[in-house]
Amino acid sequence: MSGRSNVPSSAILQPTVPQRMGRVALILLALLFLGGFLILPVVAVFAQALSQGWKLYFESIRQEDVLSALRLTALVASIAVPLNVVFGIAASWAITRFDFHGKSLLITLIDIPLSVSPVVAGMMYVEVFGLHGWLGPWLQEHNLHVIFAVPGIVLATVFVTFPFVARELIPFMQAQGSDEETAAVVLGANGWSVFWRVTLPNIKWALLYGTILAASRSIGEFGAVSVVSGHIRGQTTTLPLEVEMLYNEYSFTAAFAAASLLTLAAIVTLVIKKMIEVTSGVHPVPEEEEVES
Amino acid sequence: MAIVQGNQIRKPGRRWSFVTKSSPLPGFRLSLGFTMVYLTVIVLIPLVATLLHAARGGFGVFLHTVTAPRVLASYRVTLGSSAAAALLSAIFGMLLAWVLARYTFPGKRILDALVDLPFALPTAVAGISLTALYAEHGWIGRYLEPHGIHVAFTPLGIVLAMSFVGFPFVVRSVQPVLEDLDPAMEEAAASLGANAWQRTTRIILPVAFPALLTGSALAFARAAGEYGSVIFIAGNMPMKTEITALLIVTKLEEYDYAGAAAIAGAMLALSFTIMLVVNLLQWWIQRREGRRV
Amino acid sequence: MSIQIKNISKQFGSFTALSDVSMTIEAGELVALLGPSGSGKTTLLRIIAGLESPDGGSILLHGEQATRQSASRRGIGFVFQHYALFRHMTIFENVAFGLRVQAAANKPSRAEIRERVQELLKLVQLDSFAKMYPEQLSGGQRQRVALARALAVRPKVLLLDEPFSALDAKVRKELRDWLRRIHDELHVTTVLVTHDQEEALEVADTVAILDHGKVEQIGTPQAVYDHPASPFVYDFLGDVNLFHGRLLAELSLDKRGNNIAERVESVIGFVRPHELELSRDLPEGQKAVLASVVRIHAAGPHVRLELRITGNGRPVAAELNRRRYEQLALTPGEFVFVWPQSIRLFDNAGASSLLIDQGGGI
Repeated sequence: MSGRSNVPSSAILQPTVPQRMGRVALILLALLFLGGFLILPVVAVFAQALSQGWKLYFESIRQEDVLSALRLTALVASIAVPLNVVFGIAASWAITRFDFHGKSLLITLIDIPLSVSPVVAGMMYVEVFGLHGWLGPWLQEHNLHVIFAVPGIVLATVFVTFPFVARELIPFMQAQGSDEETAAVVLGANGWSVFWRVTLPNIKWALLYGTILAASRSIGEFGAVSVVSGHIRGQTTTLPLEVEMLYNEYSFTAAFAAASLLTLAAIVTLVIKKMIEVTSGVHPVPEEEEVES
Repeated sequence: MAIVQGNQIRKPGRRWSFVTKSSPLPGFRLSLGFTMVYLTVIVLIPLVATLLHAARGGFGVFLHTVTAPRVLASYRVTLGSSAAAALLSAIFGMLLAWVLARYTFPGKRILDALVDLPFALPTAVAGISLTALYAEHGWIGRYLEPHGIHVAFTPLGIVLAMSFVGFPFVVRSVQPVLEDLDPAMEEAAASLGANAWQRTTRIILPVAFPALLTGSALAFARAAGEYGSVIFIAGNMPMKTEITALLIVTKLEEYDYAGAAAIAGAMLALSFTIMLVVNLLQWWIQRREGRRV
Repeated sequence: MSIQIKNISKQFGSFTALSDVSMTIEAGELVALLGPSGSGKTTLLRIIAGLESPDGGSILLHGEQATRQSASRRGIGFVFQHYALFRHMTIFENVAFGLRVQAAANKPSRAEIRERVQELLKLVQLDSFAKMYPEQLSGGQRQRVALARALAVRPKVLLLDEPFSALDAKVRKELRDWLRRIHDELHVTTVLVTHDQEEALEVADTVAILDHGKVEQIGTPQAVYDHPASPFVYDFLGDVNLFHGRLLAELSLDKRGNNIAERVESVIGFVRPHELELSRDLPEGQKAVLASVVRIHAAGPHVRLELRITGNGRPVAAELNRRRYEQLALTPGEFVFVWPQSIRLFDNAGASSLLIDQGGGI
């Protein structure tokens, strides 16, 4: 959040002594919760990963399976995120700059991935691209593999992450209004000029924020990818999947070592998010909140 | 050409048009077209495919599949745990939102950023980490076990994992409402003679309550569909600690595609119901107070 | 209930909001605190209310120390600029609030509350709106509800913080009259903060003008308008023409008989547009300046003329009533003689002022 505080400064709302103690108690309780519930799991990841020393840690990370999982995760993210950024921009442009019937329906469609279980999401793609799915026979004929192959993973990841950029941009662009762009058009700019010179500079922080959210989710997606991937080590295993596999094989230290990489990425994400919030006042839209249509 | 009849200007030939207000800005067709294609391919087609498959064989078969004892047990586990998790999320989420919105204290920014941790952390990592913490010899588990509190591999563990991923929804729904609360309202209440307790219970909490409901509903939805955080700590014993999402995966592994699709259909029905409830909630709030939450 | 303000000071960080302010407000008076933004008027109001605590000085309500008393106990009613109605409650519940939160010992019964709320809603003519929500009302209606809510608990003092500034001009005027009528009916000591001098002069029994945390002048509306104590007050309370000049010795001796002649210093003369006399011919013995007519604004009850002094090119604003204007039948570009019927001089310190009744050295 932007960290705006509603702390009133007026005299009546200055706390009395018992009220002040109550406040301190609440703050301590919140911090206790923070420590116990949130920080502890993160610390535990690193503690477990390093429980057998640094040498073993680095060896675990350098295993071929882990590295190829890392590469695959990066590959998937680098395809899914740009696609979703383009979608997010297109959708918010259409929704916030024009009036048409069915806008609410469109927004509802965009919100769907957020309320659907990731496993169901993966299932949905199996239904279309799987062996017995709609396109199954056709794909088989042409020797194309989607499910249990990388394209399937990309699709599932795209599904789960595409709302993030759009949902960040829509309220932002709505609040900004279209006056500047209209002025540009009147001055003779064509579509792309308007976009590059007027719109993009204005939305860059919200766009960056949404992109970070989408990227973070792309890297960490588990349930949907698990269904479509086939868990073929070295080929269709992303890093979160590799973590699961190592864990199920009782290679706990290795599992946590791989998990620590993901945790580092998550922490970096949080730091960047906070920095963007602080410098630009952009703040997250709670998931599934109805955005203005 | 407009025909002026009395006080009315009627445009001949225009009854209904897709676009409700023309705009000078370019790119409508391009952006909307791209958006629609994307949504159709990524969301609509897979969704329809799943629903059709679930309905294949008729309603009777569908009903039979989704009411099998093991499936029913999974509903009990999933929905029961989600409800408990939503309640826990509501309590702790409210506490955190209150503290973040109304007080200033050292470390506030860090607490604020960490609320997003469950969003950023991959679910698999959260899953193994929570298991490590609450297992018998885990950092927290070792203090609970002697008292007979078993967390890992029990429904309690499921509730815990679900709360972990659910509470940020409550915080991020309630926090903006508390932050935007007009200090003048509290001052008005005070000037009318209300003491601090009365101000909290009659003014602040009622205003925050709809947001609390919305946030809890979102937490519930997320919990019900959650996979990665839950399956490690749950134990996954059929009829006892097996969540519905896992059941789908199990059926897929057994090549029971029809069964998997049917259960997925039931889960989709739940997702849509929750989406509907949340939208209704927000419509009700909008109507009553003229603001979005 | 009377209000005594004694030596109140308040600082916000390095900004001084109020500096040693003292005033007495009699019971039953309607006082306007008037001044520009930053003058401290709202801060003073909030200190009276107990919503801010002063750094120094004291507030006495009805002779009793109230400075450390919390706002919930002072028996005041407060009306906010942006209404501050409870959005999640109906109009009825809003007005009833103050009655419902009273301690059990004093709390009226449900029937009594209902009666009181109906009474007040009738007073502000919103009785049919009882079950609606603030969201459904217009700005003017919301402010009337806020007033009813504040009055419900029979406050001994009613405080209003720029209550009408968020409303349209027409609604503002209506509510202004309203407030005056309600005050006349209920005789509650009322303090109104406003930056609109027209509002203050029209509504109040007494006007206190503040600037930069100090009280510039207190008096009846007539008194402060006709006899402004400083250039600031003069300028704030209406339009003004400024004439820079030097005090002519003979003038001062004539009128005052004081030996001010030695103080030949530069002064500023203040003349209101309607105090200027215009004529095509110069009467015998009258000192005047020649000016050309630049523009005429003839819409409305008075006619404003923008003039330019031929000698030094300075602009002057004059106001005539319609009859006089039609007598003169001036058009832009014509030349006319201008002199003040009365002029008020302030020296550089701004403190002393002289009033000259006829003409003056220009």
